[in-house]
Amino acid sequence: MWTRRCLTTFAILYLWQGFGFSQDFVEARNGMLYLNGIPFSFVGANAYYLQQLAARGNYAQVQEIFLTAKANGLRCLRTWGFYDSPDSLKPEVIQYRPGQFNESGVRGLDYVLHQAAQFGIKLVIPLVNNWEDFGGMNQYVRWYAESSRRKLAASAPPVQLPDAEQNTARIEGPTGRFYHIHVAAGFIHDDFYRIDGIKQWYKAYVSMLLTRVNTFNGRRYADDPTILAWELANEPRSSDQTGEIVRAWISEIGDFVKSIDRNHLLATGEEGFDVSRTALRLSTDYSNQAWLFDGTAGVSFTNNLRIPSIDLASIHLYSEGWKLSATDGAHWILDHAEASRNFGKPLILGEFGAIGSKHLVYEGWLNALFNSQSSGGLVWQIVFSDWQKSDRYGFTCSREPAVCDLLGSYASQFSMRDEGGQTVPAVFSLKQNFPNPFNDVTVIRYDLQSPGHVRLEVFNTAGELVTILFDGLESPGSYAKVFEAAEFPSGKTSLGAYATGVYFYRLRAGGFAETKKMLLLK
Amino acid sequence: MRPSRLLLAATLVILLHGLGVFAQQSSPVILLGHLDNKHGQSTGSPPFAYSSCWGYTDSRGREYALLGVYEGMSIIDITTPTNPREVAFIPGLNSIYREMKTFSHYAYVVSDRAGAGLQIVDLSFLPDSAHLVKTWTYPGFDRAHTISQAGPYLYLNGGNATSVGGIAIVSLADPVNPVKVGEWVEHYVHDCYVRNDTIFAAGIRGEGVSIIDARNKTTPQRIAQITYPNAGTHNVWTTENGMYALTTDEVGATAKNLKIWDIRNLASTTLVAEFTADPNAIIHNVYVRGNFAHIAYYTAGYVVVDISNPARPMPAGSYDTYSGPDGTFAGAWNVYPYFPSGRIILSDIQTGLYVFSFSGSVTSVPDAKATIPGSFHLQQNFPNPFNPTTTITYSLPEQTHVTLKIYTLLGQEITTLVDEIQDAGAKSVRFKAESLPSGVYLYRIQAGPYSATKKTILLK
Repeated sequence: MWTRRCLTTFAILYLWQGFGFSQDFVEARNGMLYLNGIPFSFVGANAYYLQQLAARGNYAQVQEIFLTAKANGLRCLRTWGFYDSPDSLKPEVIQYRPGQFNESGVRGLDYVLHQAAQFGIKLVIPLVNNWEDFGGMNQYVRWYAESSRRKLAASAPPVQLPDAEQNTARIEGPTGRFYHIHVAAGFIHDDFYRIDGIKQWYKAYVSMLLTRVNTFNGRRYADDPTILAWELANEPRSSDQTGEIVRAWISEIGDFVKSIDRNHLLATGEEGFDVSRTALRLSTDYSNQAWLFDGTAGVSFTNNLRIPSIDLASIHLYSEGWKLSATDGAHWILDHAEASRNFGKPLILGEFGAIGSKHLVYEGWLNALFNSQSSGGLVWQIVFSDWQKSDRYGFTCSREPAVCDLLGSYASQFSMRDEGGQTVPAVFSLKQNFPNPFNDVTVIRYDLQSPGHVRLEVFNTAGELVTILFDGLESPGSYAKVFEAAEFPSGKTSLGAYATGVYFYRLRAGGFAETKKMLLLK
Repeated sequence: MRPSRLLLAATLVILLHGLGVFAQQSSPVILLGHLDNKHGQSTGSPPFAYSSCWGYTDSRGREYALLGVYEGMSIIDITTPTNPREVAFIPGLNSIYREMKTFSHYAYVVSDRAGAGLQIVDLSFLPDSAHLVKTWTYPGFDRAHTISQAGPYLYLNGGNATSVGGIAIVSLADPVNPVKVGEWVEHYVHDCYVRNDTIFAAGIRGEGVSIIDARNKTTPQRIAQITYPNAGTHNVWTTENGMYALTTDEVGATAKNLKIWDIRNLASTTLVAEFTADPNAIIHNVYVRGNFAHIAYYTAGYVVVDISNPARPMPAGSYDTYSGPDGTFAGAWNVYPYFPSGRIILSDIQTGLYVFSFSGSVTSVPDAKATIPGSFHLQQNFPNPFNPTTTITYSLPEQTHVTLKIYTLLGQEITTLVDEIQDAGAKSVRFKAESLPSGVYLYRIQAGPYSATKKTILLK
């Protein structure tokens, strides 16, 4: 339910910014997603690090990601909603002890949600990591092991426990992430799912986040329609080859989440593995990679789909890491889409990544997503321009335009189908620029109903023409033009340096003309 | 005297039967030349250094390969196929995609990279030089995925040539001042083949092939569609008689192989055969010349398939240009089998340009990988039967005096095609028979110690 304060804030923002974010939540019905009664499907991207950037004050990089997503028609991003680490001095750490939270870390997530709303982009947010990056399940288990040791020490003389981590198995994840099965003396990864005390800590974390009021826009997280779905974990795995430990945990935690938040869709965040070859109808032999379906990962996609609180089916796909062909990858999507359909739940491909020939591999997987009527796919991952890590899956649109062009093209194909196959907008319209106010770069969108001569100009408050963003013939359709106030694009007219202040942009198309205001803040 | 039709047909059957027997013994594909001339830094792993290729033959019969390079388009004179030589380079925006076609004495080059536009290149000064006339764009258009040409029209596919990446039709009434005259936008089109006024559009996003009536260039109309489950249709071509369509699947969950469709009845097109050269390799582009499908097959390289019976495609030759592992999008990108000489060029993404000869007949082949032949050899002419021109190819392991003469079946000498000292290498000579009647002829080579005679059929 909306609080009065939220509604008021919302209304003010709506009027102030001159554009509306949808008041409605994305819903799941009959195996499909809907927004405002219209089918909702998407191509989007992962950008796990947004909260970390924001917590460190790197707002420009957060904006760069949202701007890039918006300019390419990506309607959804997936980003981490956790950072569990005892290093309380890092501003990006959210939980530094069970139940103890850094305000700077959570405020980073506030900013991400706020920006996503500004750009009209939905978010999928996992709440803990299976892997040891940014804490993860093992951090909870370590905290529990330490507290047990302290209790032990208080009642008896200190006992020298062997350090289990020295000689334990390490499970490698698809993108080089890993976790130890044995976390501390006497404790293993699976304990995250089993020990009541740990489950209470995790529930307390979820409860804190979902009831938090965003310090940027005053909205309670549980009431924020910018969030498309929560994921209980990123890629939950266990050593239980029946998958039962994970299933029971999802069932219990799922009910808990629904008791605080009935607005948002809930997904498991899993990769799609299963415990038997007969659980899914397999359309290929998956290059004889038996571990995908024999319980090795300790998680059952089909058993988890049966859990009532889970609204949305989740799979991931890394063909190279899993020793599959790109063709196997397309089958992976089709087979899971069919299983999800049988349970009446929409499917999202929460992560997909390839190292070599990304544009060609993704072409095939997006083809399979689109033609299996799946709800969406999120590429792993889009990065900002001065990304330093060596991540062979990461890409920027400037360095790999072929990937972004492909994603953008499929994004518009998904959107067009959502709108009932209408390729031609019903009316002319000039949209408010995103973001606004802006620093250096903003995107201006408009719809054309019929072909003709189009001119998009920018004026200053003195009424002088500053630049012409477009001048030529265009077919009916939706367009986005980027206005860069940072420099003078070559070949365009200009009166001088762009100064902070109000600018006007005017669209003329056939008999249609409209002018809107925007604010440049340097 | 004109031989009777019956006699001719009988001879043909005997000859073709003979060819079938020999074809099983060895590959009739011979590597004549190779050029790997990278121009700078390319991206990716393995690197995307080269993309597509096409061919151009000038008014004097010199043959050129147009090769997509990461940094632009390389123009390579292959008239001496053992020594391909870059004679011009047209810089473009760096891109892993570059596709080109020709019309008149111009090349038209596109790339699916923003800002690339359509480059118009004047080839009339070759082999001395080539010149970029202009880079053409229009509002909304600055990139295309592929380009097709039929008559004085270009077809720009994918990219942003149209609002949904369909087909933009461009008139070349003035070859250096193109005019967009129409478009087809019912789905994204990855590539198309235009046969007279019919467009065969490959829908890589699951659409299969749309068959479009383009007699009216302004508003082309779809008249049929070939659909199949999980289609990732990359390109399409037809047999010369137009009765069968050949498709390649590059992506998706369908087999990445050649599919052959009976399209005689557009209301009910049917799959008649599939051909897989290597189950672990991915197919890329197919073209048809005569009874053969010429395929660029990524990691399997150059593959030729005999489709004289479209329902029973038979392997007819191959040359693997890629040494890395199978199953990746690496190796052969495109093949061009339309040079008058019968030579075939192929572009390999990592290793550049290959020049091959292919004769769908032929006996044993010397060392297929050597550019200097290991022995004397006279090959079957191509095409065969022919009308009125064909190419005779032979190889010389050393410099020697060569004579090559044409005789009637009765041994009467008709003409001398070669009579000179020639260097070692693979050679070819054209035989023009405009003034001769239909029938079987013999050609005989005498090269140093070697002599050989073969039959050929002129069918007017």
